[in-house]
Amino acid sequence: MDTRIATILAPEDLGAAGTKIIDINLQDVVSRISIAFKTTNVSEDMTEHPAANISKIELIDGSDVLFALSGLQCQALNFYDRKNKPYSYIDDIAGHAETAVFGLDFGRFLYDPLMAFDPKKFVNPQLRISFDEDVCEVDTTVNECIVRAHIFDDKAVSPTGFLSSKEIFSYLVQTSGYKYIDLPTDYILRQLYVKCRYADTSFFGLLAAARLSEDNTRKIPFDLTMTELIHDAVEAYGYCFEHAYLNGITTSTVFYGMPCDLEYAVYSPYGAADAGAVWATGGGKYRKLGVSASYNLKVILMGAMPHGVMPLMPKPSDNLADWYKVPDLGSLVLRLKDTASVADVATAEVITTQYRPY
Amino acid sequence: MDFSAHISTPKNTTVAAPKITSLHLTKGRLTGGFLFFPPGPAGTLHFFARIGIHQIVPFTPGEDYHLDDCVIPFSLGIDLLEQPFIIDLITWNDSITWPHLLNICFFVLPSKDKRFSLKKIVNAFAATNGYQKS
Repeated sequence: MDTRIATILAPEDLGAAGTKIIDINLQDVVSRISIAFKTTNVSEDMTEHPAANISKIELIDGSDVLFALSGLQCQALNFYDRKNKPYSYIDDIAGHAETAVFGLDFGRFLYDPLMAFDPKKFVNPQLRISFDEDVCEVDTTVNECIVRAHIFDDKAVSPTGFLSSKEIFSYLVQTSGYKYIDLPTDYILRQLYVKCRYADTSFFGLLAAARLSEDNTRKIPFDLTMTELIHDAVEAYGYCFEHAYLNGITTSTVFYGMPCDLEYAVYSPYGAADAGAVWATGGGKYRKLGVSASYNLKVILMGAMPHGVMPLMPKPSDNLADWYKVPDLGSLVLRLKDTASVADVATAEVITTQYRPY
Repeated sequence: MDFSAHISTPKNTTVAAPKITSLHLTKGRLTGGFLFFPPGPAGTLHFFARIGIHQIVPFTPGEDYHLDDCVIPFSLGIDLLEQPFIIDLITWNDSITWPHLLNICFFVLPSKDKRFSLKKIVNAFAATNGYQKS
C-alpha cells in the first residue's frame, strides 16, 4: 500500500503530569503525527476542555523548533487546516473516558506528496508532549496516550519542505492600547492566527482589531476589526461542531466546548423526555441544567473560533505560489488592539504556520 | 553581546499567574549566559525562560531553577533566526513574606548575515536549496 500508519507510542499511561519525550526513529516520510490522549473521569466536575490536558506539543531537532503548540492551539489549527472537521467528543460522566486528539499536520492535506516531514533530513528529531491528566476533570488518575504517524510506505515521495506551526509570542491583554509584534520573515507564511480565550468572556471583549503592516506601514495588507475578520473566517472555514455526552444532574454545572463564539448549543435527553437547558457563557465555557441524574444529555455545540483562535489572513489555497512571500519584505509587524474589561487576566497568543523548505 | 535583566518578583506570585519579563534580543546565536540567585530566597524563587511556547532554560520541559546564593552558568547553542527576538523570563515566588531578586544574563553572538541569498528567495519551493540542477 502507498501509505501506512505506524505506531510511535503504544497505549501508555504517562503518569499524573510531566513531559513525555519520544525520539522519532522513523526513516519514512511522515505526513501527520496523531496524538490521542484519553482520560477516565472520576468526578463529574469539568474544569477545562479535554484538550487542555496537553499543555504543549513540540517537535524539535536539538535546539531547532519544528513545531510548538499547546493542545488547544493544535486542535484549533486542525479545524482550520483540514477539509473535514477533526474528531472531538466530550463526556463528563463519571467512569467514562474522554479522548482529545491532536494532529501535527506537515502538509496541506493528509498524504500531501509535496510537503511532509522527512526525519532523515534531521539529526535527532524528538516529540515532546507536556501533559497534566487532571486539568479537564479533577481527580482523574488514569490516562492513556497513543502516538501514531501517517507515513508514506510503498509510495516514494520527495517533499520539498514541510509546514511548521508555532506559537511565537504571547502577552497579557490590557484594557486599551496596542501591542506590536514583529513577525518572522525568513519563511513563507501560510497563515497567521491569534488566540485569546478566557472563560465567560467573548473574544471580541478582549481584542478589538488587528493590523498587518509591511516595512513600517509602507503597505498595510489589512487593518480590520475582529468582527470584520470573523465574518470572513466563518464564510471561508465554516462553523466548528462538537458532540458532548453529559450528566443530567439538576443543578447548574459547567462544561467546556471548542466553539468560543457565535455559539449554539442544542441537546436531546438520553432516555426520557425532559426540560433541561444548555447554554454558553462565553470563552468556551458552557452550563447545563438537567432534570434528573438518571437521564443524561446528548449535546451538539456549533460555533466559530475553535478554542478562541482567529485566523487573520484569508484562507490559503493549495497553490503554493499564492502564499505570503514574506522573505521579500524588510519587516512585518502585527498590531493588536486590546479591549479587555479587566487587564492582565487573559493571554493573547500569536501563532504562525510557515513553509520550511529543506 | 550581553543582555541582562534584574528581576524582582513580589511575594505570593504564583506559578499559575507568574511574573513575565520580556527580554528583547537580536538576531544571532544564543551561546550562553548565567543566572544569579542572591542569598535569601531559599528555593522559593523559581525561574525558567522560553521563546514563544518553547522552554529553553532549563531545556528540560517542566523544570525550573529555584536555588539560593549561587551563579548558574548556561551552555546554550540556540540560533535566533526569526522575529520576534524575544525571550520571556518567567518567575514566581512562593514566599509569603518577601519579594526576591535574581539577575539573568544571555550572551548573544550577533549574526552578520542579513537573510537568505537571492537564489533562495527566488526559488523558495525548490528541493535543491536554491540552485538549479544541471
